Amino acid sequence: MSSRASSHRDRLGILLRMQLARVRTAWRPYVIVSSAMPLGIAVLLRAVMDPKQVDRFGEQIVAGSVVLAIAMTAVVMLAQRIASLKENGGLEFYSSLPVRRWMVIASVLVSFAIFSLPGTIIVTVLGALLFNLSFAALWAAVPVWALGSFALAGVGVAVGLAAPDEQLAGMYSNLAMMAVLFLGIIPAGKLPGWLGPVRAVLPSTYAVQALKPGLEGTISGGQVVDLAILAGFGALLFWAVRGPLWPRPE
Amino acid sequence: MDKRPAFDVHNLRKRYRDPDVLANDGLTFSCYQGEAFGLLGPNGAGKTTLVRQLVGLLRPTAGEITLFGEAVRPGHPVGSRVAYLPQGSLSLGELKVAEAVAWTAILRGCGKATAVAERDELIETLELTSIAARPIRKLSGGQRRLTQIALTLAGRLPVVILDEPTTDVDPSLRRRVWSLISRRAREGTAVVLVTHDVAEAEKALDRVAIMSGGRIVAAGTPSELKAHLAHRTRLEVAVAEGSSTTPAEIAGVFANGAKTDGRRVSAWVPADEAIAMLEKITTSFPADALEDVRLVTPTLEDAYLELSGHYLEEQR
Repeated sequence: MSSRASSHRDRLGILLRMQLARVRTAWRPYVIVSSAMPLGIAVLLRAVMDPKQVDRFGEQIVAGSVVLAIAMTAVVMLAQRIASLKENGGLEFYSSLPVRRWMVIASVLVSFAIFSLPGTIIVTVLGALLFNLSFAALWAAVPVWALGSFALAGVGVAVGLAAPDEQLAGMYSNLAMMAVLFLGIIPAGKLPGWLGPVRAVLPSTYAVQALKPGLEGTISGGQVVDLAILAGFGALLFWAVRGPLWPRPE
Repeated sequence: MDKRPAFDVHNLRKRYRDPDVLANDGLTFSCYQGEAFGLLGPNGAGKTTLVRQLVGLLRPTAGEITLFGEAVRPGHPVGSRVAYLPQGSLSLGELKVAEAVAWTAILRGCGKATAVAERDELIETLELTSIAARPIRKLSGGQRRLTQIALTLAGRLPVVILDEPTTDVDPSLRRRVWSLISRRAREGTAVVLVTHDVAEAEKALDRVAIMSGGRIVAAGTPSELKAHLAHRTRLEVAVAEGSSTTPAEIAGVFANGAKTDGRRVSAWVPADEAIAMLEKITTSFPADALEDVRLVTPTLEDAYLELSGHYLEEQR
């Protein structure tokens, strides 16, 4: 043990451990809720589709379900957590500590990205089995999870900060999740044209696009572009929640 | 006073927009290193509004706050020098008591060894040893409050602000809290203390400001404030249970009125007439009708009640 003053790295590590401690009480929702609904949707669609449709849309459905699993934790649960912290003074606890705001936000985003991992693995593996997809390039799901969960957690924090209370944060984040669900699982060609701009501004769109080739057993240059766009979303949302969206003193 | 000021507050005003309330109205005071400074006042006096401005969590409408000579800017936390215990509950429910205290000390800049030593000292002093390994969410209200106090004192920052620290804490542990706060002040910390627990806080406080209606209505040392009441003494009488003498009969003896509370009667009398009044009571009623008769020197709580206007309300 050392008696030197703690460094930024020490403090960031402690903040992350503080956030991760939440798993002690909330691991069930993180695992069960985040995987049950996306898996249920995949099973339902598998049951009503004929073999041709399964071959044609299987990757899209599994990729959409995986991103939905990430969104359940990183958007819905995180938005409610942030709104609750804002409401009960928890954010003020962090504001009263001599730690930079970016550290607090980074610890929250990284912890919820980690919390989304079990659901991501469960839905990816079971979804691939359900639709007979290739496991050859499933490793490509790793960068999609890392960048996608970070960007979607940014959406979750933004919704939590913008919502007046926890109930409305729940409502807004569920609406965001519905957008992720429909715009992620339904192929772009089958959506009305006016939804195109909405798809374009959702990070989940690029997460689904980046994941699909991996489920097909191939890797393409387009994936790198989608991953870069996801990283851009993550950076933009990080900036927004750290600056303009962070609560100002009354 | 040759101590260095921690906070200097000058003509501070805070008006809330919705509802339109002037919560702080022209507050001017200083709080020094090495002193425990108490903010006393009834609910709605503007105490919490004031301390939230001191730590930069609220934006003043007008006026100036400086911390060690530097302006406090709203939204720019002062956490490297000020530890703040708010009134609300703690949101770190998943953490165990010991790790929460040590981790907070590290977040305040302590190395691991120092943080562990601080943790052990605070846990022992506040008698948290038996619950040190327990998650905060499983603690009682009083245990949570003590844990919050430990978190606030962890890291030994030069200024500590405590808003109602002893809420929900049982009387025996409250004494430990006051003693710890007093010790920290003697060791050089500037302590700003908001409390309703005037009687117990009296021993820990070096100076006091009494607030009412958003203003400071009196300030000084506890002795200076008590001097406002030096010309009066409180005469307290307890009527024996089952006695045929009624409290109302005893209250009728006092020309300036008395307050009755069950079998108890109390009244302020001029200090130079106190002995005579005592004799009058003891001779006017049979000895077995009086369970207890005593003269009480004014306390800080009496001064607080008087100066904040509470006695006036009670007498109406």
